Amino acid sequence: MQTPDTSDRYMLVSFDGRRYAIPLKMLERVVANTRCDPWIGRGDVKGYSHVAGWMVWILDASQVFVDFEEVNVNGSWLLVLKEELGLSRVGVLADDIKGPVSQSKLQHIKRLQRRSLEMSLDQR
Amino acid sequence: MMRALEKGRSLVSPLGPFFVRYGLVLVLSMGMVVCIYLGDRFEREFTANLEQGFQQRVELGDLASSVHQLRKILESPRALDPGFVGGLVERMKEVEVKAKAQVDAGRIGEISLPTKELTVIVGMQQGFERLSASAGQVERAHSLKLAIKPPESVDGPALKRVGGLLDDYVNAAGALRNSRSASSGLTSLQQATMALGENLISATVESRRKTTAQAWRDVLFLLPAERGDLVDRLLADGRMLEDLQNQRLRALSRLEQVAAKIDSAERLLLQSRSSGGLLVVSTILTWSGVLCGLLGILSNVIQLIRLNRITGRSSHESLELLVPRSVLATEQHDNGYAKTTDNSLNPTASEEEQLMASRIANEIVRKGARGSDSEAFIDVASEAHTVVESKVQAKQIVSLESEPVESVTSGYWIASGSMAERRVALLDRQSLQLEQHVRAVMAAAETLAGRIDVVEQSLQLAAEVDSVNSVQELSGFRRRMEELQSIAMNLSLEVGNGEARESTLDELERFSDELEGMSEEAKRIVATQSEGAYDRRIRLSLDEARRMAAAADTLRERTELLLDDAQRFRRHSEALIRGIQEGAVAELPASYVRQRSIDG
Repeated sequence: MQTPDTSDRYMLVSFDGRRYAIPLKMLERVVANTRCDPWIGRGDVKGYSHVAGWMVWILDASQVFVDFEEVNVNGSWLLVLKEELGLSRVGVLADDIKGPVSQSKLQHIKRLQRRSLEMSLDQR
Repeated sequence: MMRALEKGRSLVSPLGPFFVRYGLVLVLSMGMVVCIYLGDRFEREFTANLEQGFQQRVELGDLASSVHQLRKILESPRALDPGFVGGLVERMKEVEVKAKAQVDAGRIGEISLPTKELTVIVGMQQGFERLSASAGQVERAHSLKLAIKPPESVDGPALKRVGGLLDDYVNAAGALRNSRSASSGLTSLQQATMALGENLISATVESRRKTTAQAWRDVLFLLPAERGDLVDRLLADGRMLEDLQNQRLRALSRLEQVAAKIDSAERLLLQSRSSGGLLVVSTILTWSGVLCGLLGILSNVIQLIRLNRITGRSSHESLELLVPRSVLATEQHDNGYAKTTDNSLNPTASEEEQLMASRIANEIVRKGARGSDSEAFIDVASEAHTVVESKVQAKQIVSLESEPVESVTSGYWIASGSMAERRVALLDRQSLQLEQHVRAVMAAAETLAGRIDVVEQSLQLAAEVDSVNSVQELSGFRRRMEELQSIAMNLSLEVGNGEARESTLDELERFSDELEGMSEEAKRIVATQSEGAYDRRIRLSLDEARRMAAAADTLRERTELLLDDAQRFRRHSEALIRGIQEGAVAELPASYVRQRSIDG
């Protein structure tokens, strides 16, 4: 069975009323109607949630993507990003998620670039 | 010939002294009776005229009031009120019947009622119903426009015009529902209707452009101009309103003429019925009768005094009278001295005295023949005097008892009493009308209260918590759909990890598209359903509120009628009180004085 090329497939994610495209290879899982618990400790972690056996640390989108400074998210969609950090993952809350869509349909939608985890940690 | 004359003279000659004796009294008595009789007749005529005039003025006032009410209905033509035509027909019939009665009675000349114009207006009933339907449709579109607030279209002049016209139309319809501004609302509604009918098609065409906002299409969806049905209806409404305005103005001008005629008839009636002359004549005749009576009494008194004198002399000169006058006359004839003595004895001898003396003498002779006693002569003389005196006294008593002034006064008093009764009867009728109007006002108030209850319930339903349930259902539905979407997306991600082929991804993408479309559709349907129910309730509330406003207007009109009635009632009661007071003050003193003299 031939593995499909997912490099030209994207998910359309809405942050703060604007749509962005995230490559499928960057995503681990999508969760609707997330139930997340607030993080009362120090740092930039907003909260945490349990998804499919992972502990997902929820960060602000500006901590994870390089394309914007700060976003105000009211949605309940959770994007679980691909990471190899044991049993924990990093997740971002989004207003809405659509897709997957092929690259040809993206037109003017901006593609998001992921920060490296080290940079995120450095910023802290 | 001479014999006949002699015979007649012989027949009349015994009556001559009688007429000389009682003629004056007889003439005066007859004069009194005739004068008082005529005075009474004139007074009756005066009273009858007064009552008749009052009754006629009341009837004319009724007609004027009905005409005024008809004018008020036409001045505030609330064409959107379902009871407008009914009220108009009812009032028109009332005016026709009353006017016919007045014309038949000859109190008014021929009046031309605006029957033709009003019949045309009544014939517009179907048009009014159509207008109500159109107004409802346009008002729904207007309320939607207010709710979604479509943006001002720069490149759509017709849309802009229609937007303004919708506002004008709704304002004019509101004014037409209100009785105060219905007259101006009629004109503005006619203009707005015509303009809307002319611009609706071009606005619909402009709304189809891509650059035009969807909101305009939604608004104009409620005003479907394509089929031409609504446009035709709007244009027909405009023409009907124009016709209504023309007919209404014509009818109003005719009613003004009718009202002016009624006013002039009323004025004429007042002038013609001012029969004060009758009262003056009656008073003069009555007082003339009284004067005759008084003169009769006076003449009787004078005669009594004369008789007294004669009786006094006869008592002093009774011995002379013992001699029969025939003997004395013979002696006087023989002796001239005796003649002079006789003349000196009766220097003021008149025929009456001679008559009385001869009667007394005859009586004496007759009694003397029976038994010649001098005392008997004196008794007879005094008896004769007593008889004469008692006759005079009896006459005086009769003349006092008759009291012509008193009889006239009490007659008028009775007449004014009956007039007061008539006025009380009129007041009673007025009070009945007043009661009916109060009942109508109460019924209108009850209707209003009922409508307010309906509006309250409707609003309560609209604001009730069941919307929370629907929202919960909606959110559950959305959650489920989102779960589906997430599953699809995760499937895509898994496939992306190499668990499926390229075509699978395409299929999944389409699946996701479809699912998304379904989700959108479901959202829209749920939203539409919810908005529809809400909109229905609000529309129901609005309709009820409009009916309530109409009911409030009816209530206000009925209250005005009630006020009119109450004012008329007050005027009549004041007139009654004034009439009683005037009657009492003018005619009371005679009986009042008599009463007091009896008491004293």
